[in-house]
Amino acid sequence: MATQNDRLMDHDYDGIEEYDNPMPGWWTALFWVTIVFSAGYWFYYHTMGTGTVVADEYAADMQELQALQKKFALPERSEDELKAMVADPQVVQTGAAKFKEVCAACHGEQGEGKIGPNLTDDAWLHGGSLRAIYASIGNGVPAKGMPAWGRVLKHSDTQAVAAFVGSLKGKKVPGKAAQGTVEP
Amino acid sequence: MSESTTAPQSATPPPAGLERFTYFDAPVRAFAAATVLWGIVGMLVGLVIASQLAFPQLNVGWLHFGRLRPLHTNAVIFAFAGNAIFTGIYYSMQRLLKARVFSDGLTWFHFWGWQAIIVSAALTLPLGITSGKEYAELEWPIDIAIAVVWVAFAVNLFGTIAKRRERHLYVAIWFYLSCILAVAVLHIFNSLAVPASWFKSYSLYAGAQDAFMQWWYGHNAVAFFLTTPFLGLMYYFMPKAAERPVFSYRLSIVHFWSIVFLYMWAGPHHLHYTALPEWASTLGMVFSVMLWMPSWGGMINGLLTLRGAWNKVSDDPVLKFFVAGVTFYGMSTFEGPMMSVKSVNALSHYTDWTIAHVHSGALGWNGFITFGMLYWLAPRLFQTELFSKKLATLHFWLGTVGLLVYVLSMYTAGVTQGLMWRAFDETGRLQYPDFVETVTRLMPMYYIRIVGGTLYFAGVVLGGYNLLRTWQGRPSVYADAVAEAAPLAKDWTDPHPPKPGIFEWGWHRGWERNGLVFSVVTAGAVIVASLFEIIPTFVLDSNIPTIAAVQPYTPLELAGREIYIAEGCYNCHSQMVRPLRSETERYGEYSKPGEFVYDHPFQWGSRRIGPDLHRVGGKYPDLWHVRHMENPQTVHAQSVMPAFGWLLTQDLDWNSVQKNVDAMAMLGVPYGQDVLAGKAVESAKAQATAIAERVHKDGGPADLQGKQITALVAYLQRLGTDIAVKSEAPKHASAAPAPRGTP
Repeated sequence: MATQNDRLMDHDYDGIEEYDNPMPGWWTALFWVTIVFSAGYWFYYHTMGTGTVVADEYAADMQELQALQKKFALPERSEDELKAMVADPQVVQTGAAKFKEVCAACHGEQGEGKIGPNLTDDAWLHGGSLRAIYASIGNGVPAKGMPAWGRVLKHSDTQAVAAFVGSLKGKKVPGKAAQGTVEP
Repeated sequence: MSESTTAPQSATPPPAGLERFTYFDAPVRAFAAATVLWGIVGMLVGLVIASQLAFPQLNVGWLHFGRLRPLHTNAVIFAFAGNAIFTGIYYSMQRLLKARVFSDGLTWFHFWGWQAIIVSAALTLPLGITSGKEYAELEWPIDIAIAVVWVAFAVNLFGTIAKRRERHLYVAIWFYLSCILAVAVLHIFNSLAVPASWFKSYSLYAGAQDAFMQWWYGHNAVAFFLTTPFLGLMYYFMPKAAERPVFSYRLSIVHFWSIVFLYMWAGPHHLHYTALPEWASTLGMVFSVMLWMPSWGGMINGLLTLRGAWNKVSDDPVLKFFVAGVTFYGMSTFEGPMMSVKSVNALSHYTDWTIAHVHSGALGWNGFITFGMLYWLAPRLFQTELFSKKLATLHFWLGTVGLLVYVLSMYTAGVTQGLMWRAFDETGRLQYPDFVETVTRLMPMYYIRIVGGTLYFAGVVLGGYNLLRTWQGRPSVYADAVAEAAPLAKDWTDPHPPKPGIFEWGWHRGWERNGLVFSVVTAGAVIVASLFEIIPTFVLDSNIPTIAAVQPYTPLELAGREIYIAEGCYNCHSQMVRPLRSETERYGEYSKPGEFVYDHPFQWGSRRIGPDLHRVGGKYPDLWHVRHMENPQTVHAQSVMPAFGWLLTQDLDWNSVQKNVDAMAMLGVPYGQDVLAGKAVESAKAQATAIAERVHKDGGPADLQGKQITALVAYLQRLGTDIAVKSEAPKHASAAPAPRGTP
């Protein structure tokens, strides 16, 4: 480290004097370190093309994620299995609570329809079977602005919500006018 | 002189060879008063908007966060810090150059012009008159006024340098010069726009290029408006107050030039992982890393100047402010390079971490240097004792504690939200899929932030009171500040010629004697560094691969975009999905540079208080947007978004539709003949009718076709949809990998 001699320079500005001290050694050294690092970084990523660029890193990340998601994908359920859930008051109750939390904003507290369609009449836009309802909730209807809740909710919750909606069938709560095809 | 106090000073002739002259301090007093006034206003607005985040019901009508936040940032940066710079520069440059300011008239023009600009900003921004570019929101007539006033400032500084009686330019003057030159270049080139009317213009640049220019400007406004002039002030006022020599002349040379050469490259670090080309992002990062030591050079030279004067710090509030200010400068300039490292930025970007960072800079560095300077200047300017040293010390402690509370709460908020955004559960799903959850979690921090901000603000008000009382104790007539100095002799030879050798700095002493050479080299450094990034960004097509499906906005969508910009939506919502899995899972396919080619200006945003909106198009039904804008809490109970109910009742300004389309066409946006030549309104009305019918059919309110909401819905439903048509296939298959390229 260069020594600080505190030798005054032979000038002053409005009474301000300056020392002729050298730059602190650690300062100069760190400055060089950042310069060398920067040159190396550029060389590694952009000149040689050895570093992983953002797009590649993203692609690798997504591959890993998609494998995981595939493993934990929303399970298939048969019409009968879903029927059994509709019959189970506990499942329907869980579904009702979740429905209030995430669905009611668009479909109304009782499923009477608001922004989205009325779920208590006989008319269905995307199929009225329990399997179809389960699929609409799980995969969403992106074109109509219905999110894919299977990617957001726990699987058990998605099924419970499907069961709850199944239980609303035919309740005919006064609300939004019927849309879609009537299915008995 | 003591025996002849009654005689006019001019009665005694100056000693042989010396000239007697006065310093022009009246405008310095005016700038100081404006600094305090605008500081209080700007920080009060800051407190208001901080409260609006914590208590959303405080968003009253159009006085909501989106419109007020630009007022806060502009007031603190350009009104408070700006007037502080002018106060310090006009005071110190006259003394450092041993000359009265070049022109009294220009100085007053500068003062009143700048205040008029501030007032016009304070009027236009809350009215929604904005260019929509962060920190450069003011519309084109005000931009021109800024340029004119800035030229007056420049003429004054250069003129004073020309008539100086001090042979060498002191380091403070170097920093002032760099500020004047760089800010002029930045302001002019970032603000280039095509006016559509008196209150509306479109940035000359679009999308990724506009983003690049904007952050080239934004980052270097930090550099050359909030850093270099304040370093200049530090180099004058700190040794003055400490009565100690500056630690190292050589260090001042090296850190000055390295700052001037390196800063211009660093802007793209605000755009990591965005649709900016990756090579630019890397340059932004590495130049930021290299800026760490040059910045610390300033801190070291400040702190080590206090060697032998530390005992004074405990007693003197002025030095306390300077020490804390320089320390905050050191912390921010370590943090800045750290945040510009890409992987750190992936976490910190769009969060309150950035908010913490800028406040440690603005309140800690700019604020404390300003208050230290004002307390030092007050007795000298008002020619009386400071009203109360105790109050000044109390101001210091309120400020320091308040600032620490502020930044610590915002660091916590920032890291919390950043981590929540990227959290996945073990089944590969987002842990917090509901965006609002990541906002409501921050509320305790937002309450604490208000406490910190209030403490800091209380200190500022106390400071204002202290300075006001000091001013009240002024003499009935100010004594002239008289000085004597010899004019510069033409035939001068250095009595102490420097030793030869580059590192003996004799060549630099030569530059310091020649203001012109010094200015040219400084301007050259700034411009050349800029062109190294600007030219490839604009010239190389590979940076922004064209996407054929991307079409211009329809006239109605464009009108909706104007509403989006006027309401300041970009202050809370980004439009830039980064290629990170946590983002594409939440929002959809990541944003491509080619998608923004008609975005004059870009609206990528810098902070997500609400979710990203680039892929919001088609995500919800039209009616959802109508209900949501009318009252966000009806569709999402926890939402903190303000209500925009008037959009459903106020008529759309059809008159501006055609003008806006024509202005965009002038910028080269390929509008076909069906909307040019006066047909834009027709097209807009047709689209509005279709939307209004859909909304009504879905059970929404009737007759919205003439209202502003239809335009906004049209715009929102269009966002990010151009490429969706094609990528029916796997949802997450990324399109062609972004080109890995070097310029």
